Amino acid sequence: MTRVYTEARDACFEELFDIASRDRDVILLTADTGAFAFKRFRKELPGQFFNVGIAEQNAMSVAAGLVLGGKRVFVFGISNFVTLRCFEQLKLDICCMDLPVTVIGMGTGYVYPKDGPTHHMTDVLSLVRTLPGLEIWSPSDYSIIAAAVRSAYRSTGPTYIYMDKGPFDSMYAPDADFSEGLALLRAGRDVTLVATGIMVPQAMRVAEQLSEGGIDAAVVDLYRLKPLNVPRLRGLLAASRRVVTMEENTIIGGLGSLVCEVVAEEGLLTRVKRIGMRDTYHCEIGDRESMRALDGIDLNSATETICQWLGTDVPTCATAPVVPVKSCSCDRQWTSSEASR
Amino acid sequence: MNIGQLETIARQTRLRALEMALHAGAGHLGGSFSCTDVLVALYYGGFLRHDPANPDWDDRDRLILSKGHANGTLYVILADRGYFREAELDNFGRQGSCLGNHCDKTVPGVEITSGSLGHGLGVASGLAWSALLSGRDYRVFCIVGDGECQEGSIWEAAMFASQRRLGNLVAILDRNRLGSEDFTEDSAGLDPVEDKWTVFGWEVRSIDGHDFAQILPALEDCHTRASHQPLMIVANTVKGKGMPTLENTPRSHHTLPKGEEIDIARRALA
Repeated sequence: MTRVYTEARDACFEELFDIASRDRDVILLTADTGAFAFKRFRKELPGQFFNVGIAEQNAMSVAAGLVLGGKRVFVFGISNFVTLRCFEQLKLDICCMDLPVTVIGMGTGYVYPKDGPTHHMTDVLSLVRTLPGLEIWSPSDYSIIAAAVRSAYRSTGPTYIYMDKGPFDSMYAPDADFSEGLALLRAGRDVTLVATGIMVPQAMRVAEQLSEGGIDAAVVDLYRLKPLNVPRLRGLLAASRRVVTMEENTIIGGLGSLVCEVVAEEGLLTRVKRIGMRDTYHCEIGDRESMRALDGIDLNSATETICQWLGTDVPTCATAPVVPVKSCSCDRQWTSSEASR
Repeated sequence: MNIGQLETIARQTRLRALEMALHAGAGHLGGSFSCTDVLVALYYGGFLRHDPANPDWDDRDRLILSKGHANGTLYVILADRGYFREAELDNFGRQGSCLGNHCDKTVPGVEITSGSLGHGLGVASGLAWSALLSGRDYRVFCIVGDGECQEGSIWEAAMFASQRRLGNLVAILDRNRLGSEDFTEDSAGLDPVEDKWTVFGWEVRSIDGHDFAQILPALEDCHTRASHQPLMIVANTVKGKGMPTLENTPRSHHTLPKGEEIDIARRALA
């Protein structure tokens, strides 16, 4: 029976627990990153769950070795650290040898908004997109997380699951078919919003705001970035004269770039506006929506940007003042206080 | 096979690799020749359980050449043992060949793609761990360069292998004391390298990596030792061994003998 999940890590690891219970060759490695479900792994499947320490490079190489020895391996860690820190191991030890290792990256975009730039996932999507053979899931819903885990287990090659902790709106039935890789969540004739991951519920809210201003916006959920379902995406892009991409990732190389590539390669006349992180680092500390406001990807800013682009008035519901978090000035205060002594 | 026979094979292997590289106009002979005797001991001395007719045999021992640029003599050995046609060596590094300048998993007998340094010991550890978890008794041999021990990932793997009690893992450190530009002790020094591996929890044996009278005893108990410590054999070697004009020089990393150096090397290996 298909389960209904209300928490991202539960969706991931309860699904994986079921798989590991049936297949004793399934191994879960964590790079010293925790999840509530791991208590159950430790207790009931101690021979299949291991903390390999804060050593992501080695975790990836070891995963490759385990697979070469006949195991099926899932590696879990914070997204930045299980991609950027060990990118060459991902590339050479796993993807280049086409080994069925699944990397589960915890967190996307500004999931840790108060942890500073070391924990902002600004470029993970851009980076992993460049790895040939890597299947990339960017779930927008608990059901997709569970489906991605099942798909990864069946796969004969490497998989990356870029998993936000949510909360997500439950938009899909638990037993929905996700083999298409994308879905049209909402039809609309004026503009098409293409989003991925945690920005999909944000895009749905933007579409609701736009509708109050008389703009009929479609929303496309691109929950699998590789392999990309080009014919289906092409059809959806071609049906709209204007497309807006929304991502909590740098606009360089991520979802916006992907859509532009398809538009260019397929010879479409669709105009594209990319809404995403700008080409900079942020040291500000704030909640997630405030951090998004720094780059104009918070709800109201996104709606305003789209309205301006379409040449329409901003609906009143989106005109609340956007307050980006301010830069910290403690450095200056410290300096002046020191100087006054 | 006795020591004299192994020495003959090692000399012939180096000579064939020299001709192969000269034919191709490329190759990493320096680091390849420093670990040739160890490779010959493994493949001809009865230590590596393998079956060239069945390269994917589940219970074979695994040989990981972590210093993947040193594939020259390994490819000569794999051809001689029957993994692929000897004539294919003449295509080494040439247009359309499957034999490139670094190890590639698509070549029969090669376990992993390697060439970027610091990866192989981690993969070897995963393979060894997989055997322990599955109750299988194959051994994993991993040849590590000393230059690549300047990579942090090597030490992540070193900690991991001792933590997981990988007594079925045998690493051989090709201690030729050279990177591609400088002596290791002049860039990021490794000495006392034996002590480093010891404090990381490995059993360490130090030998002359060109003396079969020392190589064979060091490998003697690799299938029977009861220890749960991973084994590190520090093989003290000479980069470019067998090419008198290039021995112990940084340029032997990627530079082939030229002019009269070629005949000097051929005579030395004849």
